[in-house]
Amino acid sequence: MTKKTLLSVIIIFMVGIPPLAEAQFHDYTFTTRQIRLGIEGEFIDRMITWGEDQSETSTLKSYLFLCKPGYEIREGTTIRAILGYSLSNFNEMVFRELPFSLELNTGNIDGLALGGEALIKIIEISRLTISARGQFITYIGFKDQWDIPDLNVEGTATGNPFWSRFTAGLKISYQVTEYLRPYITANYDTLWGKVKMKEEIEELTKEQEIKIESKSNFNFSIGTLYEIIDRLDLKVEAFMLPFEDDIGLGITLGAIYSF
Amino acid sequence: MKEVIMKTIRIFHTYLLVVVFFLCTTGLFSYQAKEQKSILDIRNNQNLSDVMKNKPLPSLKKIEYSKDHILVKFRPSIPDEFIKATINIFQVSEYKVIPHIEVFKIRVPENSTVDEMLYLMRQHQYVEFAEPDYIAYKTETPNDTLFGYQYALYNEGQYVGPPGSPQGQSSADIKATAAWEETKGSEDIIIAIVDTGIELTHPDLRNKIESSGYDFVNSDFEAEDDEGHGTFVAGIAAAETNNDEGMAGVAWNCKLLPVKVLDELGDGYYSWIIEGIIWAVDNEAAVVNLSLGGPADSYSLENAVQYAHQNDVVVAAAAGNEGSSVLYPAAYDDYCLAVAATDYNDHRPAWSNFGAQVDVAAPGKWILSAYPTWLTPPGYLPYGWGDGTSASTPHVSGLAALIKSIKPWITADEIMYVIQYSADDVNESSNPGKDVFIGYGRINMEKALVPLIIEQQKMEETSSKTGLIKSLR
Repeated sequence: MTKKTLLSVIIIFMVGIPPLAEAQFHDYTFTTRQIRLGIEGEFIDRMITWGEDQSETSTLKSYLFLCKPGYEIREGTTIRAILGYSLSNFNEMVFRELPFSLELNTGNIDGLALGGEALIKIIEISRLTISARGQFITYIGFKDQWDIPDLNVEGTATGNPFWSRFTAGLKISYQVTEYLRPYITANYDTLWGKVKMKEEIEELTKEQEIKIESKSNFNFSIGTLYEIIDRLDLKVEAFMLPFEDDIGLGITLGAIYSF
Repeated sequence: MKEVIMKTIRIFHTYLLVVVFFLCTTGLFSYQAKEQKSILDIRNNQNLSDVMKNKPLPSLKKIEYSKDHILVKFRPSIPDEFIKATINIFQVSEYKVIPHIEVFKIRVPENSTVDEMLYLMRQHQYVEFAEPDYIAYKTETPNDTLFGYQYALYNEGQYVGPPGSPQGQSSADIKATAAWEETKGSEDIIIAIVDTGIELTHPDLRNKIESSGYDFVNSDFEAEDDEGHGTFVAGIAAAETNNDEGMAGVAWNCKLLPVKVLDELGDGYYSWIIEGIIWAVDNEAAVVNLSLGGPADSYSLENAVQYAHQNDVVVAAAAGNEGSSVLYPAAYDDYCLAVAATDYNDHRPAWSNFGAQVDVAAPGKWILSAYPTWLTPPGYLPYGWGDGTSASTPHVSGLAALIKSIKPWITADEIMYVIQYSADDVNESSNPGKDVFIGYGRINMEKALVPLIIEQQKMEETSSKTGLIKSLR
C-alpha cells in the first residue's frame, strides 16, 4: 500500500512541479467556452466481490478510451456525454454453478462504454473553486467465445460481461497559474454488474450469471488541468480506492479542446 | 529567452505526462499491486508468466515461493569468472551451485526483493533464465495405512499388491488426490450400494453407513452382508478416509446406504434389484451403485433405472466380466453409466465387457478394498484385493457423489456428461474417441471437479424378462 501511495504522489508531483516552478501567480483564468470535446484514457484496477454472499474477491482491471463531448452551461458548470471503448479483465472469476467449473483467464474483454457526467460549481473564493461532480459509465462487453480445454470432446464457453459505475463527490480546485489548475476530489464510487457465461459441450449446455460488486465504495483523487496550448487543456488524475487490506488504483489522462 | 525556456519546460512536461500514462496503462500499477503478496497467481503476473512460458500450467492454482532465494542459470558460454563478477554486481553474499544442471541458488540481498532481483537478473545478457524458488507441497493424501496400495486413486508406479504383484504405470489412476483439493464430498450425499449388503460393523465402514438399509432377500431392515461383495464395493466408494487405518474411499465424506438384493451366493432376482433401486431412490440416495448385472433384458429393470434417472439419481452399473456384451442394467444407456475396467497400466483387461453402451472405464484389477471381518482369517486385516467391473463401478459412483456434493443443483444427466467428457482417452492410440471398450475413457476426477481454466486463445469459428442376476467379480 505504501508503495502504491508513494507512486501516486510521485506521479502527481511529476505532473505538477515543473509548472509550479514557472509559476508567475498572475491573475489568469481558464478560457470559458460553451462547447468542449474531451478525449480521455483511463486505467483502473479495483477489487470486486462476487459469488455466494459476495464472499469471493478478484480484481477488475479496466481500460477506458473515452470521447466526451460536453457543453458548458455557465462558467464552471459542464455536462458531458461519454462514448467510448473499454477493455475489462475479469481474470480469476470462477463459474462453479456450471457442470464443468470454469475459471476465467482470458485477459481483456472488449466492449462499449457509454454514460455521462456533470460538474457543477458550488462556490468560488478567489482562486479556490468547490464543485460537485458526478459520473455514470456503463460498460457493455462484446460476447466473446473460447475453447474449453482438457476434455475429450470439443466445448466452448461464451462470456458476456457488463458493469456500471457511478461516482459522485466534491472537487476542490485551485488556480495556481495561467496554465495550471490542480485539484483534489473525494467521491462515493460504486460499481455493479454481472458476467454471463454459457458452457456448451455437445449435449451439455448451461449458463451462469455472476453478479459483481465493488469492494470499495469510495475513492480519493488528485489531479490537475494544464493548458498546454490555447484552447487545449491536458488533464491527469490519479485516484485511490482504499479498502480493508489493499488499495485499488487508477489513472486518467485526457485532453479537452474548447471550441 | 525566458519564453523559450518556458516553452521548453512545457514541452518536456507534456512528454513526461505521456510517458507516465504509458507506464501506468502498460501494467506498472498492476505489477506494484502484486509485489506485496507472498502468494502469486502466475497466470496474472506477467513476470512469472514469462518464466513459465511454454510450460504447462500446474493444476494447483496458487504458487508460493521463497522470499530469500531465487534460481538462476547463466548461459553455457559464459566463463566462471564472468559469472562470479555478475553475481558480485548484484551484491549477492551467498550462493550455491546445483551440480549437473549448473543452476545457481542465489540468496537475495537484504535490501532487495525477489521480484526486483528476478527483474534485474532477467535483463542481464549473461542470464539464460531466472526464476523464483517455488514451494512444492504434498497433495491431499489421506493417512490411511493401506493408501499406498490404492493405485487406482494415486498411481506413482508402485507395486499394486503384495510381493510378486505387478508394478503400475505412474499416473494410470483416476487423479483422486488432486480432486480432493476441490472437495471431499458432503455428508448429505448418499451412495446406495445395491448389492449383497454391507458389513455394518466393519471398522472402515461403520461410521459411514447412513442406516442399516433394507434387505430384500430376507425382507428386513438390516442389510447385513453375508457374502462379502457389497462390503468390498462399499469400501471403494466411500470407506472412512484419513482415519489412520485401512483404506481410503473415493468419496471421503459421503454416506453409504446398504441395500441387500443379492443372497449369500451373490445371486438375486431382478425383482429384488428393482425394488432395491426404487427403495434407494425413495430413501434419498443421490447415487445408486450397481456392481451387478444379468444377460437378460427386462422392462421392469429398465423402468426401475428410469425411475432413478427421472428422480435425478445417478446410476452407475458394471458392464460385466465375461469379455462379451454389456450386461443389464448397464446396457440401459439412457439411464445408466455403464462402467468397464482398466488396470494399473491404463490397459483394458480382456475380461471387461464391451459394447456401444460402455460409457467410461475405471480401474478394476488388483483393487484393494474392505473384506468382511468374519471372512478374514485370524491375523489378517479385513482388506483384500479383487478384480472386476464390480470394483470399477464404485470409483464412478464415488465421483458422481463428489460432483453432487459440490453441485447439488445439477441433474443426473449433467453429472453423467461431466464424468464422460472429462475421462482420459487412454486407448486413444488404438481407438481414438469414444469406443466400445472403455467408452470415453478412464475417469479423471481432477478434470471433473477442479475448475477448468479458460485461456486467452480464442475459438477458431472455430426378451427373457425374468431371471437370476449375478454379482460381478
